[in-house]
Amino acid sequence: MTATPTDWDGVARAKLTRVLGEDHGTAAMRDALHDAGLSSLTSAADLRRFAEALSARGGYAAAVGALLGVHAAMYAPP
Amino acid sequence: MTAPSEPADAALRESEARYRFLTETIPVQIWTALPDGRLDYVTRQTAESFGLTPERLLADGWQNVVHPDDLPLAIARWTHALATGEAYAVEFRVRLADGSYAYHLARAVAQRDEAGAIVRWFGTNTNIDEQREAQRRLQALLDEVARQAVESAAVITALHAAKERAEARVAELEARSRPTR
Repeated sequence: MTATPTDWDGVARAKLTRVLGEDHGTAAMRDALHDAGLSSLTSAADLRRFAEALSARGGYAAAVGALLGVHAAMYAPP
Repeated sequence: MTAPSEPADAALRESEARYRFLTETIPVQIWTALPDGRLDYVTRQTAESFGLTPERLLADGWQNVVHPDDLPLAIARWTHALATGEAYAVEFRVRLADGSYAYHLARAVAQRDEAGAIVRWFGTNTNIDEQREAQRRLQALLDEVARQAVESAAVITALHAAKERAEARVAELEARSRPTR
């Protein structure tokens, strides 16, 4: 299923699981939500915070975080 | 017949102990097979990685631990190697003791006698699951970057078109509000 551009939670989950795989992607989503102090992504501002938390984790998660930062900027400029 | 000398015995025992230590401790599955392809030796470590005893693995054969989707290619490559004597190499998933599958690179070369006939195959299976996963993630990330680039281009194009429409509208309004002489 493809998430619409402003389904912030769906976009983040889809990108993470496509790159990291189902198990690691789900774990990275849960951990970065925790790091960002969020329970879900309901706005572009949430997605930006989440993207920053992912970026701090390094590796592939950080690369996905950078892509999510671009996504947030594209569909809801700060 | 003369009995081997003690130093020769000691050297042989040391050589065997070194070989056993090597085959049972290096993190690679080691096996040998007869010219017809039947396994005739596996290290204990190899069998235990599948949750089996060496005796059980030798009796059942290697095909039972290979992922069903990867089996046809593995059989084709092995059959080709046995028929031609060429080196065997294939990547496949094997079922480990915990039930998970992990990609391995299987390779084997033939040992020949003085007449050139194959007397035994010597093979190894190396776990390459982490490398395969790293490759998959890298490719998935590249796909994601490409997808995002296409999406970004579409959004920028739409923004540019909206800006041009707005500028045209402003120019139109300015023209209307300009006093006529």
